[in-house]
Amino acid sequence: MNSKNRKEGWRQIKAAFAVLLLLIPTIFVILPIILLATGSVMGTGELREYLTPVFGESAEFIRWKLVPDYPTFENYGKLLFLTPQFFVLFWNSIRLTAGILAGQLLVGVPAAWAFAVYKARGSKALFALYVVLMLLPFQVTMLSSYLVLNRLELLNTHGAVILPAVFSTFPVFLSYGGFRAIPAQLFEAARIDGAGEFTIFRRIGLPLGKSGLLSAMVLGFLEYWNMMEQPMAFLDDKALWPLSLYLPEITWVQAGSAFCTSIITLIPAVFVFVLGQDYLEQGIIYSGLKE
Amino acid sequence: MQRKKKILAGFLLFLILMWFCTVLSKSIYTSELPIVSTVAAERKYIEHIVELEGIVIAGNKDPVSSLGGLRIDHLMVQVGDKVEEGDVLFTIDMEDLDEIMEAKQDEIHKLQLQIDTILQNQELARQKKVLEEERAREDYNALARYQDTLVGRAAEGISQVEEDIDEQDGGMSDELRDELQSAAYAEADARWNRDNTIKDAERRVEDILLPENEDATLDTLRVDLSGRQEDLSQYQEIKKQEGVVTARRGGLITDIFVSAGGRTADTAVLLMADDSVPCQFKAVLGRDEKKYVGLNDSVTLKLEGSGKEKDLKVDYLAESETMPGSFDLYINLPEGTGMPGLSGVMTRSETGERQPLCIPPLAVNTSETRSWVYVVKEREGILGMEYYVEEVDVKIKDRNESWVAVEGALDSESKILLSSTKAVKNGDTVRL
Repeated sequence: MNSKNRKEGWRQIKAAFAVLLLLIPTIFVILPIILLATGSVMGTGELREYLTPVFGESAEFIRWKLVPDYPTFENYGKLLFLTPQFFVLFWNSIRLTAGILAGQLLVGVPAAWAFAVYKARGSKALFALYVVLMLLPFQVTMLSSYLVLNRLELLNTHGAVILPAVFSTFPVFLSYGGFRAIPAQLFEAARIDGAGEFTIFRRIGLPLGKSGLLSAMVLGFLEYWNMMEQPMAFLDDKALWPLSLYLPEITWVQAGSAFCTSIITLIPAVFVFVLGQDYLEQGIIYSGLKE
Repeated sequence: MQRKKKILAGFLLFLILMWFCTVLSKSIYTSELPIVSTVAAERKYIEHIVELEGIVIAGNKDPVSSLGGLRIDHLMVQVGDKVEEGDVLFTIDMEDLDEIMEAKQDEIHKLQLQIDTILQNQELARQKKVLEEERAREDYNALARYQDTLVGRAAEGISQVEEDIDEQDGGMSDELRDELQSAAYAEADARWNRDNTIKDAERRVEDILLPENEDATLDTLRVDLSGRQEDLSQYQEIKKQEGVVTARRGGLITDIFVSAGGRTADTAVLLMADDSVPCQFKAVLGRDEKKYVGLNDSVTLKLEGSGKEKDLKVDYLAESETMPGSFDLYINLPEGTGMPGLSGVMTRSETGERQPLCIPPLAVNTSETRSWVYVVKEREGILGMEYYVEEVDVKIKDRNESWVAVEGALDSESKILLSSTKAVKNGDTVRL
């Protein structure tokens, strides 16, 4: 009995130690969020005092308080009720992200279905090419994209950002994994039962491969919600910019607004992440599956 | 699944909230923007109209004066009264005049007594001097005679010694030689004494004959006496007229310097406009207005109560002595026009060159060192195309009350800010 209790005690100590060990990096991870949250409710004077080492010539380290001396929601009030520029960019971000994701659903998902279900000569090579394209960073394709968009007279329009992203290979790759996980016998059975190809795609492919689809959408949302290079390269008008480009426009004098903007920018991403958390894990699994 | 629905509902709620805040912030933002009105610059002739209010003054003013120190009994006129020759202007208090005359006579009597005393003293001094002179001369003569006698005696002593020497034969003895020498010395001393004594006596006579020191007291008293006698005669003249002072010629009373019961000063009691000289219109011109009005410039003049404007010219224009920085302007009015005290308005119009950029004065901002206008321009911002104001420095070339001619980085297409619901500064976003 004693031996059993001792074992149980050791197990609890180990568990507590493990929690403690994991807590330290967790604190480091969530520290920026805490800094954002506390900074967003600090007054201008308090922020100036704490941020002087960053923006001034002082060699001191920054000091920070987890609970502000004079908490205020003035920054939120200003941002939400007195800064329409913020909302223009917020809705631009929504428009761009929604447009890209909708386009990827329409283009990328059927492409992934075709790669996963229909075997044709060279399809594997084509898919490999897709994977290679996926690995190319934006900077490599920027010039060619710019020339094409210029020819199509899409520069300085939201189309310039949406259109190249719609044809991104990453959602195809993730959705492909989801569709590949469906047993081929199911499709054969459906065909024998008289189902057409579109019915198979709609009735079998989409419900069973939705994990891949949704993980592609969640990852896509997180990527495009925060994108900076594409809008900077293809959009001149500030009125067309997404929210991710708004922060550099804020001077350090408006540091409170910057913190609030960051917090509010974070909210949709958090919602989407929480909504698609399960699918996201599944998608990551698919992306790791071998052929 | 239920949890996901809740999260989805929360996300939708967040989006609805953001939409609501979008509308609200945009409405607050636009309501905070200054609403401005603009004008475009025009080509215009800048006309300068100088309107000056002034007053008609007498062409010439006659002073009416009286002896100083008299008490006014009744003042029969007031400023603005028109009087004819012989009209009573004011009367002098006769009782007061009698007292003044009595005092004056006393003063004359005192002065006369002082003069008489001085004259008598002078006569006595003269007689005394004559007597002293006579005595000095007598002393002189007596001394001269006595000294001559002494000199004669000394000469006689020498002669006696010489005779003794002649009487001795065989040369002069030492004793006689000493006697002769002593006699010669005595004669020389006698002569020296005589000369000195006579000179002293002569000087005493000369001293007596020297003139006395000059004394102006008598002359001064005589002048005083003469002045008082003259005053008295004038008082007598006033008394003869029973203290009534009348106008020597017709005219308008323009200024009165005393009041009833007060005493007259040495200056004029009142001033009268001379009817025989035409009136003048007087106005005061500021330095800015001076640029557009010069000597001999044609002007129009409208006097109070007169429906007709007159075309006249500026006859006199010079910097005011009482108000440095402003100018006195005079216009000679035609004979029979206006009367002192009437107000009027002088107008002078001058048109300058045609200016390419003329804007209302309200659109021009000025400080001590510069002038500028705000030009409304368009720019692309986060909220789309928006209007903003930009400061443009201008040089004012000419101006009148309605227009300002400017020179600067403007053209006829520029939207120049005329008015704003709020104060604006360079770069501010505005609404039209």
